[in-house]
Formats: sequence, structure tokens, C-alpha cells
Amino acid sequence: MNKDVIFSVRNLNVKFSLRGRVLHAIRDVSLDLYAGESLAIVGESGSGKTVLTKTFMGLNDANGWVDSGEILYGGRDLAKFTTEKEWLTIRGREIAMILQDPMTSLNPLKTIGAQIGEALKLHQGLRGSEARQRTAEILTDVGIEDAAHRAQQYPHQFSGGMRQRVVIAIAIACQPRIMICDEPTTALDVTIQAQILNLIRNLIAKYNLTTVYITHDLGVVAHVADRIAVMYAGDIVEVGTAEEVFYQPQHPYTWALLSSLPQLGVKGEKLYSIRGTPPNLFHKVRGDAFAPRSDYALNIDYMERPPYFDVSPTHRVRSWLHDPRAPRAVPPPVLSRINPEGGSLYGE
Amino acid sequence: MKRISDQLAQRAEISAEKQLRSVPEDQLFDYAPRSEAAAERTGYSNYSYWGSTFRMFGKKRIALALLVVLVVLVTFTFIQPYLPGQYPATKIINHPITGKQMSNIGPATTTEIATAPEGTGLVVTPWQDEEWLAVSNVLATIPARKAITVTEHLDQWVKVDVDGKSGYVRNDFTTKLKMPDDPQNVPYESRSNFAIKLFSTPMDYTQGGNELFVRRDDVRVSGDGLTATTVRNASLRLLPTEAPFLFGTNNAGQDLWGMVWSGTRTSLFIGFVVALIEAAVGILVGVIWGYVRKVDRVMTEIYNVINNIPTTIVLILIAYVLRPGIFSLIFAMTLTGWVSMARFIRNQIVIIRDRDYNMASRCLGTGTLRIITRNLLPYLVSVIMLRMALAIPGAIGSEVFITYIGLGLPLSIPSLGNLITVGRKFVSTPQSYQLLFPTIVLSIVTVSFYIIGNSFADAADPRNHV
Amino acid sequence: MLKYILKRVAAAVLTLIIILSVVFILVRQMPIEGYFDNFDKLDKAVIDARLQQMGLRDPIFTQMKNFFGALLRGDLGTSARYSVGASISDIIVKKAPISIRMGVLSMALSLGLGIPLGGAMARSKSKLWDKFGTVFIVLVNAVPAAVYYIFLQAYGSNALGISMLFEESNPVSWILPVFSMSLGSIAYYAMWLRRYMLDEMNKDYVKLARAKGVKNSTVTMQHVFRNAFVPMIQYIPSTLLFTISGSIYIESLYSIPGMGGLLVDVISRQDNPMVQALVMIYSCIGIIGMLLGDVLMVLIDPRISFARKAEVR
Repeated sequence: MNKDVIFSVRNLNVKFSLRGRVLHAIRDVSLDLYAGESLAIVGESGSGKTVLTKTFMGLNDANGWVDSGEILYGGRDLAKFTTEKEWLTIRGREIAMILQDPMTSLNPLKTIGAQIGEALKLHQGLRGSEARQRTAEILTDVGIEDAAHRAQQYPHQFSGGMRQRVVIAIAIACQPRIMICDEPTTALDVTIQAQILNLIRNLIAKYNLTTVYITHDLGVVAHVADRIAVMYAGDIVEVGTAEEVFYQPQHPYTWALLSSLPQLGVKGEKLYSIRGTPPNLFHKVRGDAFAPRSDYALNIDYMERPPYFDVSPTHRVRSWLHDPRAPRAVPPPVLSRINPEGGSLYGE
Repeated sequence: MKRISDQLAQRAEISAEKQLRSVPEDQLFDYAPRSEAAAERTGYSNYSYWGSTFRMFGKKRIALALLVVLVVLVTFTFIQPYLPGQYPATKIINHPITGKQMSNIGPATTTEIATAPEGTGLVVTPWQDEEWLAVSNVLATIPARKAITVTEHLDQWVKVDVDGKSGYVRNDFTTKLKMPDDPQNVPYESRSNFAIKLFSTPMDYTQGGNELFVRRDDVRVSGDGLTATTVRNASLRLLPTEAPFLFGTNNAGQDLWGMVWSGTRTSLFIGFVVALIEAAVGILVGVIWGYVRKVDRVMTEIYNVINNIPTTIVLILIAYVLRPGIFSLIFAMTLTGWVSMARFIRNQIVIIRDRDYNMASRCLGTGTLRIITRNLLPYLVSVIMLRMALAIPGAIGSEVFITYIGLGLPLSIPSLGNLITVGRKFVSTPQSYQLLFPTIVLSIVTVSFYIIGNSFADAADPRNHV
Repeated sequence: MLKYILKRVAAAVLTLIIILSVVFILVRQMPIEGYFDNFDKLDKAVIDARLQQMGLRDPIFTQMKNFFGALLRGDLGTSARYSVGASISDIIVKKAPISIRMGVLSMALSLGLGIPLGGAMARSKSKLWDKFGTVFIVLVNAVPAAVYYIFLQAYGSNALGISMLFEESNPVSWILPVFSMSLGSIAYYAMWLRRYMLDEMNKDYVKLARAKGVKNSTVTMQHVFRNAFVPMIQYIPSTLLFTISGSIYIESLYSIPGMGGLLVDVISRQDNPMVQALVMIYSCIGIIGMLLGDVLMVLIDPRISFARKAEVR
């Protein structure tokens, strides 16, 4: 794999003000994205996955701001961007996005063709018959038949799966280098999910894209990811290659997350679930945010935030358990059921 | 204002911190004791719908202030007739001596017209009263065109001798005295084209020619009882009372203060009754409509018909056909008003009936009653309250409209509508206060209800609760 | 689509027939003075004869049959007190043009001011325009129209230096009535457009449009505003109703020789046939307005499945 870093986040902090209170949504996150790879960001709802990627494109709501840190891309620091004009050089043109719910992410009052055409005009300068032709090509690319005719139709004339293909077509029409897929299959039928994932994979290869998946579905992760970043309470607690995170997970949160995979359950046994609820980010988080819910919490976890410990050149974890002074923790035995030979966790 | 739950959470955090601080250096990397409470505490604070609603409402300062204003105003409206010194609302107030209506008297905070300094000579008009004396300083009335001798010229007044009496006469447009080229060069003959009054001092101690009233204690009455002299600085009053016309009087000589509050009572009564009837009928019909599937079609058709009729036209027609009166107005207003409420309740019931969370709730064995009280009612109550809050200014406005086009309440029942309709004629005259006061009270009432209703609905909407 | 429109028209006609019948029956309940210009001076025999002649002694169904028959020929009856013996249709034909002109002007003005105001409010949420607009909307909605019309007339004519009454030939004297009449609709449009635009702004397709690199201003115009404006169409008929009830006040306030002022006139003169005719005309306008709104909605919004439309309202 090519190891060029094309996108890099350094000590990023993002805050929101909500009804007079400040929510610290992204807490000191650092992350690299390598050209051509597929990175999956996993975590519970509210862990900050979506906020993080929206920050990459300057798409956070008006009450959110980058408090500190850098977002380096193409020799520029996106975190310093203040004007819309600057962001317009990134949005779509460099980074495109696929949203979760295809039922709502298309404008119901514009034809599919017009919505793809908008992107073509902005980023490829295509208009008129040229644009129509290219629209049809892209629609065919994403597996929509009778493309020229379908382009004249409105979103409500498409099924959910088809709409997600249209959303992907819009992303492709932008000709980006990086594509962010925010829960691209969550709202879809199980039967459609695999189709869409395969489609995305094919398009990545065809258009040579770098992708970031945001998901809480570990099945999807196993299917598509080269590397995995695990987020908890606005922080990346563990990052490594897919193999490393799945087969040698290091953080108690990753253990808990993997343990709760239904696929690991044995009939008749109680399925594992993580106790408690994620922390309220309106309050200041002390120490390891996961400590109160962890079975492996140390005294120090309540007092000081753990630094990153390198497990391998590609694998880092933020947990005091890796401090030389810490006791040797044994991961939950259920994790041994993740079988390296078993291949994909994704239902075949 | 900090949330109590936040404070509790913070206190818990601090105490947890203190415990942890005491961990010795060598035990830092020991496993920490587990606590279920700690795992849960990290999450969101416990939530109560009504608590949250009231807290949200409390944050809306304007609405809160208006709520206070409205409560005070409504309370005052109802206790006003029992306060001392109030004129009955529709009573026409006459001057006790002349019997003239006290029309169009400007608003004032006192009945005092003038203060007569000590030693002022006054003319007494015979009138039987223990406490008050009817007085003026008019010595006589000089007939039109009668010659008078001006002995001193004081600009606004001239001192004159006439028929052996000496006194003062106004020298302005009301008298139009005939003047020589140099009026300062006295004495000279003059006359007026109108009958004019001869005052004992260069002051007018009358109200448009009517006698004023002074307390008997403040004056010494002469032996014949026809003149009096003030023994101290004495207040000369409009009427033998200290109760002022705060909002003035109207053309008919009625106390506008009393009229306005009486009118506010009427308008509020109409507003409340209309809102209650609309809510009661609307909820009843809506519930039946929503729950009994058989009537749904019929009701929907009826709704479509009624909803297509312009409300204003119904109002006009019913008010035209029925005799003007409070209850015919209420009937006209509620005749179509309940329909939108019924429709709303029906829609909510249908939605709620089929919403996923209620299906889920029912699948878990929750009883219908509990679903209604827990899932349905909080949302409904807030919107019903909004609609009622908005129905009140709506009804008050309709009353104004109907009165304006001549189908409203008779003047014997004061309402904000007929006060405004009457006051309208004075809009660009010095009597514009007759429009202003009812308008101000009306606007305070309607704007308050409107803003409070909307703010409460905002606060009660669970989507706005963090 | 045609089927839906036909169905909707049929429903409107049915509603109209019901309303006209109800109005007719209700007006029959009025005291008979309303059919004579000099009731007090007439003796009983003459009154009876006249009532007989007017058909008011016939059974109600016969009366209704005659009435609808006459209506189809465009005959609304004759005025009893307002302008004795004159054909009501003739009176209205004379009075209607100025009301229509004024109504159209005021609807145009309310769209022209209400839509930009709503848009500006949505774009500057919680800032200056939004606050200004909110105060405006609250005042217009909460304070009864009768009240602010009076003040607008008094202070407005003072400021413009014109008479308080209307003169058709003087364009300046059109300003106040038309502006007053449109205030309610301006607030209404602004309020709903703001609400719809804020709703649309939070929708995913707007996020996607921004993510694909469309400028914010373009997103607001091309996506948010366009989509928010479509449901606004159903409010156009409601504002027609505002305009109607506004015209009733305004025309008598400014002595405008139109239909609204006429209604107030004939009510105060208790002219039954004229009240009946005018109430019927106003109901027709209202119903036609609502019909137009529904039909426009269907023509413009591709999403509406025509069968479901009736359910949604």
C-alpha cells in the first residue's frame, strides 16, 4: 500500500455552544489518512465520528468551532479557514460525502439529473448535453439502468437503495480525492447493504479514491476497512490496521465493543453489553473517559488522561494498561472467537 | 440559573475526586473499585417533562414578564369594581348643580382643577351638602354688547368696572373684546359680542362655566351664605369627590377608567369562554373522530366543508342573524372554531396510535391509559394550551371586528370592541385618549396571550428540551 | 392528476351549494323589516301582499328552488333598503372593480414584502432581521387589525399629508389602504416562509448540497428557498381571506366605494337581500381561493400523490 499521508489531523479540538453551555465534542484528536486507503472510524452514537468528518469539510453547524489544532491537506491548514470561499476549494472538489439516509439526502423537488448536474457544473465545468451525457455515464457506473430516462425523474420515484446509488453518483460527479461515507448503509435493507458496499469498493478502485467510513457497524468495517480508528467520547482511543484492531485489540473500550458483536454470541448465553452510558461532554472529562464503564479501570484512569502507547508502528492505543507499571490485563475470552481464518465478519 | 441536577452531579464528581486524590502513589496502577452508579452518572441527567418545560419557559424572560403583567392585569380587572373611589362603568356622571353631563374630560390623576390661595373670595352657589361647597369666582354675567369700562390691561385679562361692580374679564378669542389702538392706555370703553363672565380674580375657577367644589373646612362662608373666603390654600375640585377620572370621560360623560376595565372583563370573558368551548368541543369530537374509525370518513367530509368556509363570513352571518349579545357572539365565534382543534386532536391520535414508540410501548405491555397519559397527553396538553392561548386574542379581535361593522355588543355592555369603535371617531382630536386607553389595554392583553402561548408551546415541545 | 382536480372541484361545488343553502335559510329567519324601506309606515295588509309578491310566504324549498334558479341566470335579487328596487347584481358589478384592484394590489404587495422578509429572517436567525420580523409578526398577529388600521389611517395620512379618505384619482391615497390590507398577509407569509426555510435548512439534502461544494447563498436560493416556497402556495388562498376581511374594514374606514364597505353599509341598514348576496359572494371567493391553492399545490409539487393529498390536509 502507498504510504503517503494525504490528510492529517493534529491535536484537533472542536467545541459547540448549546444553550449557553459548551460541549467539547472533539477532544485532542490526531489522525493521518494515507492515499488510497480505506479508514473506518467506529464508535457509538454521539462519540463524535460525524462531527470529526464534518469538521474536515467546514460543515459543522454555526454554533461549533475549531478550538485548536490543525487539519493539514494539500499544504494548507483547513483549521485556519474562516471564509466560505476557502472551504469551497475543498468541499466536493477535494472531499465528497455520502450521508446516512438516502431517503432525505436528495432534494425532493429537483430531478436526479439536476442534482448530479449541479456537481458536474461546479467541479468539472460541464453543462448542457455534455453534462447530461456524463450524468448518464455516472448513473450507469453506480448501477442505475436506463440512466438517461431515470435522470429526468424525481427522488420519490426511486427506492432507498437506488437513492443511495444516486447519492454516490453525486459524490463521484464531484471527482474528489477523498470520499467520506457517513453510515452509508445503516438506513438500508440488509439485502441492499452488501450491494452498496461492493459498489463503493468498485468505485474506489475505479476512481482511485481515499475513503473514510463512519460507522458503528463492525460488520461493515470488516468488509471495507484497511485501517480502523475507534472513537469514544470525542477521542480516538485506538487506531491500527483492520487486522490489528480486530485480532489484537488493546483498549478496554475496543474489547467491550467487539465483545458486544452478536456474531460472537453463543446460543443460550447472555449477549455482552457495555454498562452505563457515554459521558456527558458538557462536563469536563477527567482521566480516561471510558474508566467509569470499564471492567479494567485503574485508579490512575480517574485522574489523568492516558497518552498514546505504540503497540506496533501502525497500531496506537490510549490506555494506561500499556504503562509498564500497570498490571497485565487479559482481554475478555470471548474475543478469541474472532477467527483470523474466518475472513469477513460480514454475513456472507 | 443552574440546573439542580447539574449541581448534584458536580458535587458527586467533587467528592469522587477527593476520594481518588487520596490514592497513594504506589496504588495508582491498581484496579479501581467498580461502581455502577459511576458508570451511569457519566450519562445525561434524569429528565422530567414538566420540569423541563417549566425550566425552558422560565428562560424566556419576555414571556415570563408578560405572564406577570397579564396575571396582574386580569386580577385587577376583576377586583377593580370593589376598589374604593370607582365610578360604576356605564353610569353617566352629571354635574350636581347644572345637571350637565361631564363629557370629554381629559384624563387626570386628581379631580383638582385649581388651587385657590388663602384669602380668595369665592361666590357660593346654594347647594345642600354636608362636606362640600359649590363655588366659583364668577361675580356676574355681562350681557352681549353691554359697555364696560376697562381700568387695567393685563394681556390675558382686563380689569373692568361694570354696573358698579369691579372684576376681571378674559381677554382672548373666547371674549373678543373691542380694543383701542393702545390697550394699555386705560381707562376706555369696551364691549363683547357675546355674554361674558365677570370674575372676582384674574383666574377662572370654573370648569367650562360649571361650579367647582371645595371642602367646607377650607373656607369661611359669609353670613348671607352667598360668598366665601378661603382660609388656607384650598383645592377646587371638578366634582364633590377626590376620585379622579384616570382615563377621562367619554362623550356621554361616563368614566372611561371604569368602562375600560368593564370592557376588558367582557372581552376576557368572551375570550375565555370561546377558548374553553372550542377546546372542549374540539377535544371531544377529535377523540371520537380519531378513535372510532367508522366516523372518520364522514367527519373528514364535514371538516372539508366547514374548513372551506371563510371564518369571517360565518361570524358576520351569524352575528347578523342573531340579536347582538355576548352569547350570540360567543356562539358565532365557536361555531366553526372547534373544527381545527378537533382535526388537530384527531391527527395526533391517529399519529400517536401508529407511532413506532407507541407500538413498541404497547408490545411491551403498556396499558392504553398509560400510553395516553405518558406519551400522548404531554404533547397534546402543550399544543392545546397554545391553541387556547391563541384563541383568546383571536376572540377578542373578532369582537372588535364584529363591533366595528355594526354587529357587536350594545354600548350598554362595555367591551373593548365598542370602546375602540367609539374612540375611533376621536382619533385625531384632543380626545384621542378615548381611543388610546382601550387600545393600550387591549394590546397588552392580546400580545401577552400571544407571546405567552407561543413561548409555552416552544417550551413544551419535547424537541426543544436538551 | 386530472381526476384529482375534478374531484376537488366537485367537492368545492358541493360545499358551495351547502353554504349557499345554509346562508339562504339563515337569512329567512331574520325579521321581515329587512325587506322594506319604510316598514313602520306600512299597514299589515300591504306588508302581507308585498311578502306574498316577493315569494317569502312560499314553503322554504320552493323559495330555494326559485333562488338557485335565479342565481344560475346571474340574478341575485333586488335591494330592499340600500337602493330600493335596484338589481343587486348591478350594484355589485359597479362596486366590485375597485375592490378587486385593491385586493390584487395588496396580494402582490404582501408577496413582494412578506417573502423577502421571511427569507431574510430565516437567513439571519436570531439576528437583527429576525428580531425585527418577529416583533412585526407578533404585533400584527396579536393586535386586532381594526386597531392598527385606525392608527395607520390617522398617522399615515398625517405623514403623507393627505386626506383620511380615499380618492380614486389620487394614487397617493391608494397607499395606506393597500398597505394596511397587506400587513396581515405580509406577517403570515414571513412567518411561514421562515418556519419552512428553517425546517428545510436542517434537512439532509441541504447538508449534501453544501458538502458537494455548492455556495451557501446558492443553497439558500436554489434548494432551501425553492423547497420552502412550494408549501407556501397553499397559504395564498388563506391570505385571500385575510384580504377579504381586511377589505371589509378598510373600505368603510377610508370610504372606498367597494364591496367591503358595501357589506358594512347594508348590514347597518339591515338590507336582508343584499347581506345575503354579499355573504354568498364572499363565501364563493373563499372557496374558490382554497380550491385554487389545492390545485396549484398538485401542479407544482411532484411529490404529492394525488390520492393521499386529501388525507394530508
